[in-house]
Amino acid sequence: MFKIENLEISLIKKNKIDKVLIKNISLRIPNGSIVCLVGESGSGKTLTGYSLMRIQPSQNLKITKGKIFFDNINLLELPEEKMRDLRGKEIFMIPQEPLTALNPVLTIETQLTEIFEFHTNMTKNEIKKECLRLLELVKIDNPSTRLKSYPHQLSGGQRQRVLIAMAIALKPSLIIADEPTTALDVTIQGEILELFLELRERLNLSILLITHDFGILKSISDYVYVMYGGKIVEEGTKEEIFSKPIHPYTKGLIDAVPTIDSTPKTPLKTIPGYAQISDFYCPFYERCNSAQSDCKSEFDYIFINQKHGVLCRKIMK
Amino acid sequence: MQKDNEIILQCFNISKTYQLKEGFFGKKITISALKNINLSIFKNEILGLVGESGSGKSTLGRIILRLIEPDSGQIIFDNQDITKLSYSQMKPFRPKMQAIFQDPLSSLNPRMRILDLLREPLQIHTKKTTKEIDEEISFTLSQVGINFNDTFKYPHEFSGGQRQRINIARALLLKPKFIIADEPVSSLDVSIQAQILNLFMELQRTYGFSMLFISHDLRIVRHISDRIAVISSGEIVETGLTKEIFDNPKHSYTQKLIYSLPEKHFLKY
Ligand SMILES: Nc1ncnc2c1ncn2[C@@H]1O[C@H](COP(=O)(O)OP(=O)(O)OP(=O)(O)O)[C@@H](O)[C@H]1O
Ligand SMILES: Nc1ncnc2c1ncn2[C@@H]1O[C@H](COP(=O)(O)OP(=O)(O)OP(=O)(O)O)[C@@H](O)[C@H]1O
Ligand SMILES: [Mg+2]
Ligand SMILES: [Mg+2]
Repeated sequence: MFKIENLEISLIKKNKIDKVLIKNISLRIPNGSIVCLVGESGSGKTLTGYSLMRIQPSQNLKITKGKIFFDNINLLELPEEKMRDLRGKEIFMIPQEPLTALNPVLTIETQLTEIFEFHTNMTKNEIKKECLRLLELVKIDNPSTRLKSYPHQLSGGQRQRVLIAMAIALKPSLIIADEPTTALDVTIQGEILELFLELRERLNLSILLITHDFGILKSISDYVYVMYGGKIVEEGTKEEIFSKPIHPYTKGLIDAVPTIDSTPKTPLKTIPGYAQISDFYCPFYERCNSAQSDCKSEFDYIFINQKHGVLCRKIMK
Repeated sequence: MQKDNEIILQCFNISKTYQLKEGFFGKKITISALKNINLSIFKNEILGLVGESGSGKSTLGRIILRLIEPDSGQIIFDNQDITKLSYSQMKPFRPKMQAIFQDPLSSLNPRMRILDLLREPLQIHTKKTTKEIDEEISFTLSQVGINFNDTFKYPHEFSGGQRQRINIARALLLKPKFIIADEPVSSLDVSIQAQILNLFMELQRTYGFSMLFISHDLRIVRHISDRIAVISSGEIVETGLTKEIFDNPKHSYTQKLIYSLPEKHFLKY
C-alpha cells in the first residue's frame, strides 16, 4: 500500500517558499490497484507522481509538508541509500517525456542491462534473454535489432514502450506511469493496457496512471483522483466519477471529452478560460459558474459516501 | 475547406531506409521507414495523417521539413522544388513552414528562457521592434493559456502540457502557411486540447493555413481534418475525404483502424 498524506510541494527562492504548487494532497494506492490521476495541464500531476519516488524534477522544488508511506515506512524519512534501492526495484516512474529518461549515447540494451546489473545477481546471458523477452512483451518489432538501437533511432511510441519495458523489468510494487501511451495507436495501447492488467493479476502490481485519456480511465481504472490548481478536487471509483460527477471542473472535463459523432469543424466544447494562479481556497473559483463568495475561504473536503469525495462548497448545502 | 485547389505541398515518390546492425558482428538489417510516398496537401487544408506506431509518420514530417534526407523522391513546397536546397537556401522557407514536434522538451533549448526562445524567430525573420515582438508573443501565448509573466522561466520549469503549448505558440508566431503538427495535443487535458483544436480551426478559417496533423486520436482527427491519409508500414494505403474514410474505409488496414474504435459499433449513419 502506498499513501500520500497532506503533501505540500513548494517552489523555493532564496531559502523561502515562493509559491505552493501542490496543496495538501492525500491519496491512497492499495496493493494491486490501478489508480488514475487526471486533471488540468499544470495542475500538479507530474510533481505528485515524482514525489512518490522522492524526486523533485528540479532543485528549486521541495516537499514542505506531508508524509509518503510505502506500507509502514515513511519514505520522506528514509536514508538516501535505502531510497535508491527502492527506486527501480519497488517504485518505477515512466516519465511524461521518454527522451528525458533515456541516455542518448547508450543503446537500449545497455540501458536495460544496467537496471538488472544494479539490482540483481543475474548472469550476462540471463540478462540478455530477459531484455529480449521484455521488448517482445511490449510489442516492439525486430527486438534483437532494437536492442542495439539508440533512443533517437526509435519512433515516439517505440520509446514509450522501451520505458514500459524498463518499468516492468524488476517487477516493482508500484509503477507511476505519466501519460505512458500518448504515442501509441489504439491497438498497441490496448495490448499494453492488457499487459498492465495481467501484471496486476499475477504480481499484485499497483499502478498510478496519470492520463487525460478517458477511454483508458473507463477501461482500467479502479479509482480516480481529479486535480485542479495543485489540489485534489474530486475522487471516487470510476462509476461514481463518470455517472455522478459533482465538482464543476470534473463535469466540464467530462463534457469536453471528444466523441466520434461530433459535427466536424464546429467548435469543440471546452471549459471557458484558462487556469490562473488563484489565492482563493477553491482553485476553480474564477472559472466556476456556480461560484459563491463563501467558496473563497477554507471549507472541508467531504465524502458523500465511502467511494466518492469532493472539494466543493455546493455539496455542503 | 479547400477554397481553391491550389497545392501548398507535394511529395513525389519519397523513400527512406535506415540501416541498423544486429548483434556484435554487425549483420546489417534495413528498415524501410517510407516506401514511395506520394502526398499532396492543398492550401487551407488540414490533412490528418494516421497510422500505427512506427509506421513512418514522424520520418515523413522530418523529411518535408528537410531535417533529414530522403533516399529518393521530390518535395515541392509552394511551387518550388526544395528537395536539394542547402541549409541556407532553405532559410526563406523556414518561416513559411513550421513544426510542432512530438517531443516538446527536446525541441526547446534548455538553456534559453522561454521569452528568448520565442523572440528568436521573430527577430530573425521580421523587422519588428522588441516591443512589438513581445506584444505578439503575449497575445499568442494567451491563446494557448500561458501567461506572459511566466516567460522568464526555463523550459524545465513548466509542466509537460505547458511545454507543448509553448511549442504550439512558437509555431504559430510567424503565421506560417504550413504547419506540421506531430501529436500536438497528445499531452493536454481534454478541455485545453479542445481549446487548441478550436484555435487551429479558427486560424484555418481566418487566415487560411494548411496543416499536416499527425495523431493517434481518431476522434479529433475526424473532427478537424478535411482529408485523411492512412499510413501503414511506411506506405500510404488510403487517402480520402474524412467522411469517406470514416463511413466507407476501403483498405483493410483503415478498416481495422476505424473499427478498433469501441463506439464505431453503435453508430448509425
Ligand atoms: N521547476 C519548476 N519551477 C517552477 N514551477 C514549476 C517547476 N516545475 C513545475 N512547475 C509548475 O508546477 C505546476 C505543476 O506542474 P506538473 O508538471 O506537476 O503539472 P501536470 O499536472 O503534470 O501538467 P501536464 O498535464 O501539463 O503535464 C505547473 O504549473 C508548473 O508550471
Ligand atoms: N534515425 C533512425 N535510425 C534508425 N531507424 C529509425 C530512425 N528514425 C526512425 N527509425 C525507424 O523508422 C520507423 C518509422 O519511425 P517514425 O518515427 O517515423 O514512426 P512514427 O509513425 O512517427 O511512430 P510513432 O507513432 O510511434 O511516433 C520506425 O521503425 C523507427 O524505429
Ligand atoms: Mg505532467
Ligand atoms: Mg512519431
